[in-house]
Amino acid sequence: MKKLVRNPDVNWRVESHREAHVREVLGDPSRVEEDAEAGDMGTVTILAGGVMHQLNLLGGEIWKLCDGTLDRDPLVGHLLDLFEVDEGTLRGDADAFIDEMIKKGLIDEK
Amino acid sequence: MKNSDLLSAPLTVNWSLSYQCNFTCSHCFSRELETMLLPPADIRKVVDLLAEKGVVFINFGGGEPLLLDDLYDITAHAVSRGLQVTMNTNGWLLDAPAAGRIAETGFHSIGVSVDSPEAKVHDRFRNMEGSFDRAINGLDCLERAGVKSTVSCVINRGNLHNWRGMIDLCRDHGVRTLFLHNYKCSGLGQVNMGDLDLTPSEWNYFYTEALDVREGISGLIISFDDPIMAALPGYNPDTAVKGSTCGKLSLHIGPDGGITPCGFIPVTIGNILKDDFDRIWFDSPVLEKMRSKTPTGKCSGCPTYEDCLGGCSARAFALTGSFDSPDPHCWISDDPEKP
Repeated sequence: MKKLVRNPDVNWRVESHREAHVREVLGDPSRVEEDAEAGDMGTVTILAGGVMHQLNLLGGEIWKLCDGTLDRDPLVGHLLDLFEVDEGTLRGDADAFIDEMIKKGLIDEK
Repeated sequence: MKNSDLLSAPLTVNWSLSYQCNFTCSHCFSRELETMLLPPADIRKVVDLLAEKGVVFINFGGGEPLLLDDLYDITAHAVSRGLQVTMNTNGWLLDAPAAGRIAETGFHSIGVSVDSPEAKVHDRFRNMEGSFDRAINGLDCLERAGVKSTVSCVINRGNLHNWRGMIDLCRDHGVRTLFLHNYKCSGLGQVNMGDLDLTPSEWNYFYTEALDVREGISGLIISFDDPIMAALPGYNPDTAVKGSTCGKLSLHIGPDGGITPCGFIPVTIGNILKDDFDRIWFDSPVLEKMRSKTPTGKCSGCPTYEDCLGGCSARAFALTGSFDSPDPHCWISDDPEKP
């Protein structure tokens, strides 16, 4: 199977402050009205070709996992440990994200 | 702006290691500021802190960085900590040995100031005879050493008529990116703005022309971001933040470790060696004011305000003492009846 690997020429970092905030909101049932906003918040910043991209929590976790050691199946397996979503939905979202990142040249599958 | 909306740290730190310089440029923001240099141990501490906070880019300016003996050691340390390091130089000291050391040290790219394709215009602006030839030689030395170069050109009254000649100049000397900088009225830039700065309608003309020229260019990146460009009809910038990026994506560190929102805003908001960096980034009242501006004057009710956020905060602050004042370069009329 083909492994997923981040473009090594891309600068990126985890937005640790925001990531902590998003995890706090999503993990607190009393703050459900903040979920949508938190879900869209960028927790990983990618800088490529002078353009800044922000990845939400799911995109950020996928990005972190694309270190060249995993193909899509085990990657989704890792995500299932992190998100309480059914496997079909998660696989669909992950595939769509990865395909878009490949199209932009930010992730390679080889 | 809520704290949770902020990035966890600036992406870029512009660092004036010293204001010591061998030039006396007409527009310099720092010529009249105190020159000093932190001890090497403190500089390493600052580098380590920036790396720890996740800062991605350090750009050395000042001052002329190539005057500093420790520049290469500092840079090597920063590169070893995963930071991407660039530098702006006037090019006077940029000869083949310097370019070789730059290559060995691991600088990502070097920005050389060239303000006109005409030597005499550049030399006059930089107030240094022969500086154009030395800068061009510096670019050639970088190319031979395999170092990426960029050119920084400050748009002003002296080069408005022929800035397009910079494109061929860059191509002839292996330059990857041409930065066309807007004029900042700080320091000597404010003293000499009557002679050097463009009028608002000239800025409108310049940006309209520059966008048109950029559209048809290949093989060279032309960069000239300015928040007031949001006032151009149909202009839809793909920018990470609206308005000034200072205090949102970047900060400036001065020679004593003092932090300012940018090099052109001489308001110290803390010291990187003495104060808690996160506290400065998230809680500085000055940064909060810059991030949450209130439209005043002609900005009130202006339809482009939500995109430009009043334009460059440094220019507004330099001329009025308020970040909320309209950018003095803005060409939109005060009179709502007039276009």
